[in-house]
Amino acid sequence: MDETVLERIKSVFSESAELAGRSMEMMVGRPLSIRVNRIEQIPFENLCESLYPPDTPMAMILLRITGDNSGYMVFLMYEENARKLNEILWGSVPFEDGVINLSDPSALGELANVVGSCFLNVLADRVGLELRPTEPFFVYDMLAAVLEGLIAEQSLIADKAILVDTNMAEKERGIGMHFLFLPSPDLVENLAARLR
Amino acid sequence: MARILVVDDSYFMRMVLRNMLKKEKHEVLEAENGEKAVSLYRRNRPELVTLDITMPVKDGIEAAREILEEDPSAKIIMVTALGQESILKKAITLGVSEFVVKPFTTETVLEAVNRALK
Amino acid sequence: MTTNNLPQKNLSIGEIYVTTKAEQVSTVLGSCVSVCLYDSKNKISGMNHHVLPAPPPSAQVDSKHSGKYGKTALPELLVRMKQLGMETRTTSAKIFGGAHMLSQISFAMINERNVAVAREFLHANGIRIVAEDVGGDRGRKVIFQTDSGKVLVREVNKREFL
Repeated sequence: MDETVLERIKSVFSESAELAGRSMEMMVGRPLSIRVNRIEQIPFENLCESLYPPDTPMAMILLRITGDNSGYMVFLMYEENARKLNEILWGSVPFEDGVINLSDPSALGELANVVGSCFLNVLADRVGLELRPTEPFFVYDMLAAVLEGLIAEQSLIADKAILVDTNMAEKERGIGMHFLFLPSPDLVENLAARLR
Repeated sequence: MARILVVDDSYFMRMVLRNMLKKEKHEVLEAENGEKAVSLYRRNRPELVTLDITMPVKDGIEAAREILEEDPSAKIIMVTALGQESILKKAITLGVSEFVVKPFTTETVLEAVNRALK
Repeated sequence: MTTNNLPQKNLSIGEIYVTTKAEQVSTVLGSCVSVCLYDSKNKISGMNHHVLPAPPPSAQVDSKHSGKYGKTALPELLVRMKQLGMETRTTSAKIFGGAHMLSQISFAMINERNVAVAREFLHANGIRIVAEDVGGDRGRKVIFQTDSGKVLVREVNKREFL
Protein backbone atom coordinates (compact mmCIF):
# COMPACT_ATOMS: atom_id res chain seq x y z
CA MET A 1 0.00 0.00 0.00
CA ASP A 2 1.54 3.32 -0.94
CA GLU A 3 1.70 6.50 1.13
CA THR A 4 -1.26 8.23 -0.55
CA VAL A 5 -3.62 5.37 0.28
CA LEU A 6 -2.29 5.29 3.83
CA GLU A 7 -2.94 9.00 4.17
CA ARG A 8 -6.49 8.54 2.94
CA ILE A 9 -7.09 5.77 5.44
CA LYS A 10 -5.77 8.11 8.11
CA SER A 11 -8.29 10.75 7.05
CA VAL A 12 -11.07 8.17 7.16
CA PHE A 13 -10.02 7.26 10.63
CA SER A 14 -9.78 10.87 11.78
CA GLU A 15 -13.24 11.56 10.39
CA SER A 16 -14.72 8.49 12.05
CA ALA A 17 -12.80 9.24 15.26
CA GLU A 18 -14.67 12.52 15.56
CA LEU A 19 -18.01 10.77 15.07
CA ALA A 20 -16.96 7.98 17.39
CA GLY A 21 -15.98 10.47 20.06
CA ARG A 22 -19.40 12.07 19.94
CA SER A 23 -20.98 8.62 19.94
CA MET A 24 -19.06 7.61 23.01
CA GLU A 25 -20.03 10.81 24.73
CA MET A 26 -23.65 9.83 24.13
CA MET A 27 -22.98 6.37 25.52
CA VAL A 28 -21.27 7.46 28.70
CA GLY A 29 -22.83 10.86 29.25
CA ARG A 30 -19.43 12.51 29.66
CA PRO A 31 -17.24 14.34 27.16
CA LEU A 32 -14.88 11.92 25.44
CA SER A 33 -12.63 12.61 22.51
CA ILE A 34 -10.51 10.39 20.29
CA ARG A 35 -7.32 11.73 18.79
CA VAL A 36 -5.32 9.88 16.18
CA ASN A 37 -1.63 10.04 17.14
CA ARG A 38 -0.08 8.17 14.25
CA ILE A 39 -0.86 5.72 11.51
CA GLU A 40 1.72 3.24 10.20
CA GLN A 41 1.99 0.26 7.99
CA ILE A 42 3.87 -2.48 9.83
CA PRO A 43 5.03 -5.94 8.74
CA PHE A 44 3.44 -8.61 10.90
CA GLU A 45 6.72 -9.78 12.36
CA ASN A 46 7.31 -6.30 13.81
CA LEU A 47 3.76 -5.72 14.97
CA CYS A 48 4.16 -6.72 18.61
CA GLU A 49 7.48 -4.92 19.12
CA SER A 50 6.02 -1.68 17.83
CA LEU A 51 3.36 -1.80 20.52
CA TYR A 52 4.50 -3.21 23.86
CA PRO A 53 6.68 -6.05 25.21
CA PRO A 54 5.19 -9.31 23.92
CA ASP A 55 4.30 -10.63 27.37
CA THR A 56 2.33 -7.52 28.40
CA PRO A 57 -1.14 -8.51 29.57
CA MET A 58 -3.66 -6.41 27.69
CA ALA A 59 -7.40 -6.12 27.39
CA MET A 60 -8.24 -6.62 23.74
CA ILE A 61 -11.46 -6.55 21.78
CA LEU A 62 -11.44 -8.11 18.34
CA LEU A 63 -13.94 -7.67 15.57
CA ARG A 64 -13.79 -9.59 12.32
CA ILE A 65 -14.82 -7.66 9.21
CA THR A 66 -17.24 -9.36 6.84
CA GLY A 67 -19.37 -8.31 3.91
CA ASP A 68 -17.90 -7.42 0.55
CA ASN A 69 -14.35 -7.67 1.89
CA SER A 70 -12.68 -8.97 5.04
CA GLY A 71 -10.11 -8.26 7.73
CA TYR A 72 -9.94 -7.52 11.44
CA MET A 73 -10.18 -4.58 13.83
CA VAL A 74 -8.52 -4.82 17.22
CA PHE A 75 -8.82 -2.49 20.21
CA LEU A 76 -6.03 -2.77 22.78
CA MET A 77 -5.79 -1.27 26.25
CA TYR A 78 -3.90 -1.68 29.47
CA GLU A 79 -5.86 -3.41 32.14
CA GLU A 80 -6.36 -0.29 34.28
CA ASN A 81 -7.68 1.71 31.33
CA ALA A 82 -10.08 -1.04 30.40
CA ARG A 83 -11.28 -1.19 33.98
CA LYS A 84 -11.79 2.59 34.11
CA LEU A 85 -13.73 2.56 30.88
CA ASN A 86 -15.75 -0.46 31.96
CA GLU A 87 -16.84 1.34 35.12
CA ILE A 88 -17.70 4.55 33.27
CA LEU A 89 -19.86 2.62 30.80
CA TRP A 90 -21.71 0.59 33.40
CA GLY A 91 -22.10 3.69 35.52
CA SER A 92 -23.97 5.39 32.70
CA VAL A 93 -26.80 2.84 32.54
CA PRO A 94 -30.10 4.41 33.74
CA PHE A 95 -30.40 1.77 36.37
CA GLU A 96 -33.87 0.70 37.47
CA ASP A 97 -33.51 -3.05 37.76
CA GLY A 98 -31.34 -5.89 36.60
CA VAL A 99 -27.85 -6.71 37.71
CA ILE A 100 -24.77 -4.74 36.80
CA ASN A 101 -22.00 -7.28 36.62
CA LEU A 102 -18.70 -5.45 36.21
CA SER A 103 -17.12 -8.71 35.13
CA ASP A 104 -19.30 -8.80 32.04
CA PRO A 105 -17.24 -7.61 29.08
CA SER A 106 -20.26 -6.65 26.99
CA ALA A 107 -19.99 -2.94 27.84
CA LEU A 108 -16.47 -2.75 26.45
CA GLY A 109 -17.58 -4.97 23.60
CA GLU A 110 -20.40 -2.60 22.74
CA LEU A 111 -18.01 0.35 22.79
CA ALA A 112 -15.74 -1.47 20.35
CA ASN A 113 -18.78 -2.31 18.22
CA VAL A 114 -19.87 1.34 18.08
CA VAL A 115 -16.39 2.76 17.37
CA GLY A 116 -15.53 -0.03 14.94
CA SER A 117 -18.83 0.43 13.11
CA CYS A 118 -18.18 4.18 12.92
CA PHE A 119 -14.95 3.44 11.12
CA LEU A 120 -16.46 0.83 8.83
CA ASN A 121 -19.46 3.03 8.02
CA VAL A 122 -17.23 5.90 6.88
CA LEU A 123 -14.88 3.57 5.01
CA ALA A 124 -17.73 1.67 3.36
CA ASP A 125 -19.35 4.90 2.31
CA ARG A 126 -16.13 6.20 0.75
CA VAL A 127 -15.39 3.04 -1.22
CA GLY A 128 -18.94 1.94 -2.03
CA LEU A 129 -18.76 -1.44 -0.32
CA GLU A 130 -20.71 -3.15 2.43
CA LEU A 131 -18.49 -3.83 5.46
CA ARG A 132 -19.87 -5.26 8.69
CA PRO A 133 -18.20 -6.16 12.00
CA THR A 134 -18.97 -9.49 13.65
CA GLU A 135 -19.91 -9.52 17.31
CA PRO A 136 -17.02 -8.33 19.53
CA PHE A 137 -14.68 -10.88 21.11
CA PHE A 138 -13.09 -9.83 24.38
CA VAL A 139 -9.84 -11.35 25.59
CA TYR A 140 -7.38 -10.56 28.36
CA ASP A 141 -4.00 -12.17 27.76
CA MET A 142 -0.42 -11.47 26.71
CA LEU A 143 -0.27 -9.17 23.70
CA ALA A 144 1.82 -11.40 21.43
CA ALA A 145 -0.20 -14.52 22.24
CA VAL A 146 -3.41 -12.94 20.94
CA LEU A 147 -1.94 -11.10 17.97
CA GLU A 148 -0.15 -14.26 16.84
CA GLY A 149 -3.48 -15.94 16.18
CA LEU A 150 -4.48 -13.12 13.87
CA ILE A 151 -1.06 -12.97 12.29
CA ALA A 152 -1.13 -16.70 11.60
CA GLU A 153 -4.49 -16.51 9.90
CA GLN A 154 -3.83 -13.26 8.08
CA SER A 155 -0.30 -14.14 7.02
CA LEU A 156 -1.72 -16.87 4.84
CA ILE A 157 -2.90 -14.01 2.66
CA ALA A 158 -1.14 -10.78 3.71
CA ASP A 159 2.04 -9.58 5.39
CA LYS A 160 1.27 -6.14 6.85
CA ALA A 161 -1.10 -4.52 9.30
CA ILE A 162 -2.12 -0.92 9.70
CA LEU A 163 -1.58 0.43 13.17
CA VAL A 164 -3.61 3.43 14.23
CA ASP A 165 -2.43 4.86 17.50
CA THR A 166 -5.16 6.76 19.30
CA ASN A 167 -5.64 8.51 22.53
CA MET A 168 -9.02 8.63 24.14
CA ALA A 169 -9.50 11.39 26.67
CA GLU A 170 -12.15 11.74 29.26
CA LYS A 171 -11.67 15.29 30.59
CA GLU A 172 -8.17 15.18 32.03
CA ARG A 173 -8.06 11.42 32.47
CA GLY A 174 -6.27 10.27 29.36
CA ILE A 175 -7.25 6.70 28.54
CA GLY A 176 -4.80 5.35 25.97
CA MET A 177 -6.15 2.92 23.45
CA HIS A 178 -4.65 1.43 20.31
CA PHE A 179 -6.68 0.55 17.30
CA LEU A 180 -5.35 -1.95 14.78
CA PHE A 181 -6.80 -2.31 11.33
CA LEU A 182 -5.86 -5.49 9.46
CA PRO A 183 -7.38 -5.35 5.99
CA SER A 184 -7.22 -8.50 3.86
CA PRO A 185 -5.60 -8.13 0.43
CA ASP A 186 -9.01 -7.89 -1.27
CA LEU A 187 -9.89 -4.93 0.94
CA VAL A 188 -6.47 -3.34 0.41
CA GLU A 189 -6.98 -3.61 -3.33
CA ASN A 190 -10.35 -1.93 -3.13
CA LEU A 191 -9.04 0.79 -0.82
CA ALA A 192 -6.18 1.57 -3.20
CA ALA A 193 -8.52 1.65 -6.18
CA ARG A 194 -11.49 3.49 -4.70
CA LEU A 195 -10.46 5.73 -1.84
CA ARG A 196 -10.38 9.36 -2.90
CA MET B 1 -47.65 0.47 28.07
CA ALA B 2 -46.73 -2.47 25.86
CA ARG B 3 -44.96 -5.81 25.78
CA ILE B 4 -41.64 -5.24 24.04
CA LEU B 5 -39.04 -7.81 22.99
CA VAL B 6 -35.46 -6.47 23.18
CA VAL B 7 -32.96 -8.39 21.04
CA ASP B 8 -29.19 -7.80 21.23
CA ASP B 9 -26.23 -10.11 21.87
CA SER B 10 -24.74 -7.51 24.23
CA TYR B 11 -25.95 -7.83 27.82
CA PHE B 12 -24.98 -4.18 28.28
CA MET B 13 -27.25 -3.06 25.42
CA ARG B 14 -30.15 -5.17 26.68
CA MET B 15 -29.74 -3.58 30.12
CA VAL B 16 -29.70 -0.08 28.69
CA LEU B 17 -32.85 -0.64 26.64
CA ARG B 18 -34.63 -2.57 29.35
CA ASN B 19 -34.09 0.22 31.84
CA MET B 20 -35.24 2.89 29.39
CA LEU B 21 -38.40 0.94 28.56
CA LYS B 22 -39.25 -0.17 32.10
CA LYS B 23 -39.10 3.45 33.22
CA GLU B 24 -41.96 4.07 30.77
CA LYS B 25 -43.86 1.16 32.35
CA HIS B 26 -43.44 -1.21 29.40
CA GLU B 27 -43.10 -4.96 29.92
CA VAL B 28 -39.74 -6.19 28.61
CA LEU B 29 -38.71 -9.58 27.22
CA GLU B 30 -35.14 -10.29 26.11
CA ALA B 31 -33.33 -12.44 23.56
CA GLU B 32 -29.61 -12.59 22.81
CA ASN B 33 -29.72 -13.77 19.22
CA GLY B 34 -32.01 -13.91 16.21
CA GLU B 35 -33.02 -17.51 16.73
CA LYS B 36 -34.22 -16.95 20.29
CA ALA B 37 -35.91 -13.76 19.11
CA VAL B 38 -38.00 -15.62 16.54
CA SER B 39 -39.09 -18.34 18.98
CA LEU B 40 -39.88 -15.82 21.73
CA TYR B 41 -41.89 -13.81 19.24
CA ARG B 42 -43.95 -16.87 18.31
CA ARG B 43 -44.66 -17.75 21.93
CA ASN B 44 -45.39 -14.28 23.28
CA ARG B 45 -46.48 -12.09 20.37
CA PRO B 46 -45.05 -8.84 21.78
CA GLU B 47 -46.45 -5.57 20.44
CA LEU B 48 -42.98 -4.42 19.44
CA VAL B 49 -39.49 -5.80 18.81
CA THR B 50 -36.19 -3.92 18.99
CA LEU B 51 -33.65 -5.80 16.92
CA ASP B 52 -29.85 -5.47 16.71
CA ILE B 53 -28.35 -6.49 13.39
CA THR B 54 -24.97 -7.97 14.33
CA MET B 55 -25.60 -11.12 16.37
CA PRO B 56 -24.30 -14.69 16.42
CA VAL B 57 -26.41 -17.72 15.43
CA LYS B 58 -28.91 -15.61 13.46
CA ASP B 59 -28.52 -11.93 12.64
CA GLY B 60 -31.15 -9.21 12.89
CA ILE B 61 -31.94 -9.05 9.19
CA GLU B 62 -32.70 -12.76 9.07
CA ALA B 63 -34.72 -12.61 12.29
CA ALA B 64 -36.74 -9.65 10.96
CA ARG B 65 -37.44 -11.57 7.77
CA GLU B 66 -38.71 -14.61 9.66
CA ILE B 67 -40.81 -12.62 12.12
CA LEU B 68 -42.45 -10.64 9.30
CA GLU B 69 -43.09 -13.80 7.27
CA GLU B 70 -44.88 -15.25 10.25
CA ASP B 71 -46.68 -12.02 11.15
CA PRO B 72 -46.71 -9.29 8.47
CA SER B 73 -48.18 -6.84 10.97
CA ALA B 74 -45.20 -7.21 13.36
CA LYS B 75 -43.71 -3.91 14.52
CA ILE B 76 -39.92 -3.94 14.40
CA ILE B 77 -37.37 -1.26 15.28
CA MET B 78 -33.83 -2.00 14.03
CA VAL B 79 -31.33 -0.74 16.59
CA THR B 80 -27.88 -0.84 15.06
CA ALA B 81 -24.47 0.81 14.86
CA LEU B 82 -24.36 0.04 11.15
CA GLY B 83 -25.51 3.03 9.15
CA GLN B 84 -24.50 1.85 5.68
CA GLU B 85 -27.07 2.45 2.99
CA SER B 86 -27.01 -1.08 1.57
CA ILE B 87 -27.72 -2.54 5.00
CA LEU B 88 -30.49 -0.06 5.81
CA LYS B 89 -32.07 -0.72 2.42
CA LYS B 90 -32.20 -4.47 3.13
CA ALA B 91 -34.06 -3.83 6.36
CA ILE B 92 -36.43 -1.29 4.83
CA THR B 93 -37.41 -3.59 1.97
CA LEU B 94 -38.25 -6.26 4.55
CA GLY B 95 -40.77 -3.90 6.09
CA VAL B 96 -39.34 -2.83 9.44
CA SER B 97 -41.13 0.08 11.07
CA GLU B 98 -38.30 2.19 12.41
CA PHE B 99 -34.55 2.65 12.71
CA VAL B 100 -32.45 3.77 15.63
CA VAL B 101 -28.74 4.20 15.13
CA LYS B 102 -26.39 3.40 18.03
CA PRO B 103 -25.44 5.11 20.14
CA PHE B 104 -28.75 6.72 20.92
CA THR B 105 -30.31 9.05 23.45
CA THR B 106 -33.24 7.97 25.57
CA GLU B 107 -35.43 10.47 23.71
CA THR B 108 -34.59 8.99 20.31
CA VAL B 109 -35.50 5.48 21.44
CA LEU B 110 -38.72 6.46 23.17
CA GLU B 111 -39.87 8.55 20.22
CA ALA B 112 -39.25 5.63 17.87
CA VAL B 113 -41.09 3.26 20.23
CA ASN B 114 -44.09 5.61 20.48
CA ARG B 115 -44.24 6.08 16.72
CA ALA B 116 -44.08 2.34 16.10
CA LEU B 117 -46.76 1.56 18.63
CA LYS B 118 -49.30 3.95 17.12
CA MET C 1 10.42 -11.91 34.54
CA THR C 2 13.80 -13.25 35.62
CA THR C 3 14.09 -16.23 37.86
CA ASN C 4 17.87 -16.27 38.15
CA ASN C 5 20.95 -14.47 36.84
CA LEU C 6 21.24 -16.12 33.46
CA PRO C 7 21.57 -13.69 30.54
CA GLN C 8 18.29 -13.30 28.72
CA LYS C 9 17.54 -13.83 25.10
CA ASN C 10 14.19 -13.04 23.54
CA LEU C 11 13.13 -15.36 20.73
CA SER C 12 10.96 -13.66 18.09
CA ILE C 13 8.30 -15.09 15.81
CA GLY C 14 9.98 -17.17 13.12
CA GLU C 15 13.35 -17.21 14.82
CA ILE C 16 15.55 -20.30 15.26
CA TYR C 17 18.18 -20.23 17.99
CA VAL C 18 20.89 -22.67 19.10
CA THR C 19 23.44 -22.20 21.84
CA THR C 20 26.00 -23.85 24.06
CA LYS C 21 25.93 -20.99 26.56
CA ALA C 22 23.93 -20.87 29.77
CA GLU C 23 21.04 -18.53 29.01
CA GLN C 24 17.33 -17.95 29.46
CA VAL C 25 15.65 -18.00 26.08
CA SER C 26 12.08 -16.82 26.21
CA THR C 27 9.18 -16.34 23.86
CA VAL C 28 5.42 -15.74 23.99
CA LEU C 29 3.19 -18.29 22.30
CA GLY C 30 -0.45 -18.16 21.30
CA SER C 31 -1.34 -20.51 18.49
CA CYS C 32 2.34 -20.70 17.58
CA VAL C 33 4.51 -23.60 18.72
CA SER C 34 8.04 -23.79 20.13
CA VAL C 35 10.13 -26.92 20.32
CA CYS C 36 12.90 -26.85 22.95
CA LEU C 37 15.73 -29.30 22.28
CA TYR C 38 18.28 -30.13 24.96
CA ASP C 39 21.34 -32.35 24.57
CA SER C 40 22.22 -33.02 28.20
CA LYS C 41 25.57 -34.67 27.47
CA ASN C 42 26.99 -32.05 25.10
CA LYS C 43 25.18 -29.11 26.65
CA ILE C 44 23.64 -27.93 23.41
CA SER C 45 20.24 -26.22 23.37
CA GLY C 46 17.96 -25.09 20.60
CA MET C 47 14.57 -23.50 20.26
CA ASN C 48 12.24 -22.36 17.47
CA HIS C 49 8.96 -20.45 17.18
CA HIS C 50 6.80 -21.34 14.19
CA VAL C 51 3.55 -19.65 13.19
CA LEU C 52 2.20 -22.03 10.57
CA PRO C 53 2.71 -25.74 9.94
CA ALA C 54 3.83 -25.46 6.32
CA PRO C 55 4.21 -22.88 3.58
CA PRO C 56 1.42 -22.55 1.00
CA PRO C 57 2.10 -24.90 -1.94
CA SER C 58 3.00 -22.16 -4.36
CA ALA C 59 5.28 -20.21 -2.05
CA GLN C 60 9.01 -19.91 -2.57
CA VAL C 61 10.35 -19.99 0.94
CA ASP C 62 13.69 -18.27 1.32
CA SER C 63 15.90 -18.60 4.37
CA LYS C 64 14.61 -15.31 5.75
CA HIS C 65 11.13 -16.74 6.15
CA SER C 66 11.71 -20.45 6.65
CA GLY C 67 11.47 -20.05 10.44
CA LYS C 68 7.81 -19.16 10.15
CA TYR C 69 6.83 -22.65 9.06
CA GLY C 70 7.23 -25.76 11.22
CA LYS C 71 8.01 -27.93 8.19
CA THR C 72 11.05 -25.82 7.29
CA ALA C 73 12.02 -24.44 10.69
CA LEU C 74 12.40 -27.73 12.56
CA PRO C 75 14.81 -29.35 10.08
CA GLU C 76 16.82 -26.12 10.17
CA LEU C 77 16.88 -26.24 13.97
CA LEU C 78 18.14 -29.83 13.88
CA VAL C 79 20.83 -29.04 11.31
CA ARG C 80 22.18 -26.21 13.43
CA MET C 81 22.14 -28.34 16.59
CA LYS C 82 24.04 -31.10 14.81
CA GLN C 83 26.60 -28.60 13.53
CA LEU C 84 27.42 -27.86 17.17
CA GLY C 85 27.82 -31.57 17.90
CA MET C 86 24.38 -32.67 19.05
CA GLU C 87 23.75 -36.41 19.47
CA THR C 88 20.19 -37.67 19.06
CA ARG C 89 20.68 -40.32 21.74
CA THR C 90 21.27 -37.76 24.51
CA THR C 91 18.77 -35.17 23.26
CA SER C 92 15.24 -34.66 24.49
CA ALA C 93 12.46 -32.40 23.27
CA LYS C 94 9.66 -30.40 24.86
CA ILE C 95 6.75 -28.92 22.88
CA PHE C 96 4.82 -25.79 23.86
CA GLY C 97 2.02 -23.61 22.59
CA GLY C 98 -0.65 -24.40 20.04
CA ALA C 99 -3.45 -22.70 21.96
CA HIS C 100 -6.72 -21.90 20.26
CA MET C 101 -6.72 -18.23 21.16
CA LEU C 102 -9.51 -16.77 19.12
CA SER C 103 -11.95 -19.65 19.35
CA GLN C 104 -15.03 -17.57 18.76
CA ILE C 105 -13.93 -15.64 15.72
CA SER C 106 -11.26 -17.64 14.00
CA PHE C 107 -12.06 -20.94 12.39
CA ALA C 108 -8.68 -22.06 11.11
CA MET C 109 -7.28 -24.87 13.29
CA ILE C 110 -3.74 -23.74 12.73
CA ASN C 111 -2.84 -24.30 16.37
CA GLU C 112 -3.48 -28.07 16.19
CA ARG C 113 -1.53 -28.48 12.99
CA ASN C 114 1.39 -26.54 14.46
CA VAL C 115 1.58 -29.08 17.27
CA ALA C 116 1.13 -32.01 14.89
CA VAL C 117 4.00 -30.96 12.64
CA ALA C 118 6.29 -30.74 15.69
CA ARG C 119 5.34 -34.22 16.96
CA GLU C 120 5.68 -35.76 13.49
CA PHE C 121 9.12 -34.23 12.98
CA LEU C 122 10.45 -35.36 16.34
CA HIS C 123 9.13 -38.92 15.90
CA ALA C 124 10.55 -39.10 12.38
CA ASN C 125 13.98 -38.07 13.67
CA GLY C 126 14.03 -40.32 16.70
CA ILE C 127 14.09 -37.50 19.25
CA ARG C 128 12.41 -38.29 22.57
CA ILE C 129 9.54 -36.00 23.58
CA VAL C 130 9.76 -35.70 27.36
CA ALA C 131 7.18 -33.00 27.97
CA GLU C 132 4.36 -31.08 26.29
CA ASP C 133 2.28 -28.12 27.38
CA VAL C 134 0.00 -27.50 24.43
CA GLY C 135 -3.56 -26.62 23.52
CA GLY C 136 -6.04 -24.78 25.68
CA ASP C 137 -7.07 -21.21 25.03
CA ARG C 138 -4.43 -19.19 26.85
CA GLY C 139 -1.17 -17.60 25.90
CA ARG C 140 2.06 -18.99 27.31
CA LYS C 141 5.34 -17.29 28.09
CA VAL C 142 7.96 -20.02 27.78
CA ILE C 143 11.39 -19.64 29.39
CA PHE C 144 14.03 -22.17 28.40
CA GLN C 145 16.98 -22.37 30.81
CA THR C 146 19.78 -23.75 28.68
CA ASP C 147 22.09 -24.63 31.60
CA SER C 148 19.72 -27.32 32.82
CA GLY C 149 17.18 -27.94 30.09
CA LYS C 150 14.44 -26.78 32.42
CA VAL C 151 11.53 -24.89 30.86
CA LEU C 152 9.20 -22.61 32.79
CA VAL C 153 5.76 -21.67 31.56
CA ARG C 154 3.84 -18.61 32.62
CA GLU C 155 0.22 -17.76 31.91
CA VAL C 156 -1.87 -14.69 32.64
CA ASN C 157 -4.36 -15.13 35.44
CA LYS C 158 -7.57 -14.14 33.74
CA ARG C 159 -9.51 -14.03 36.96
CA GLU C 160 -7.47 -11.02 38.01
CA PHE C 161 -9.16 -8.86 35.42
CA LEU C 162 -12.88 -8.11 35.16
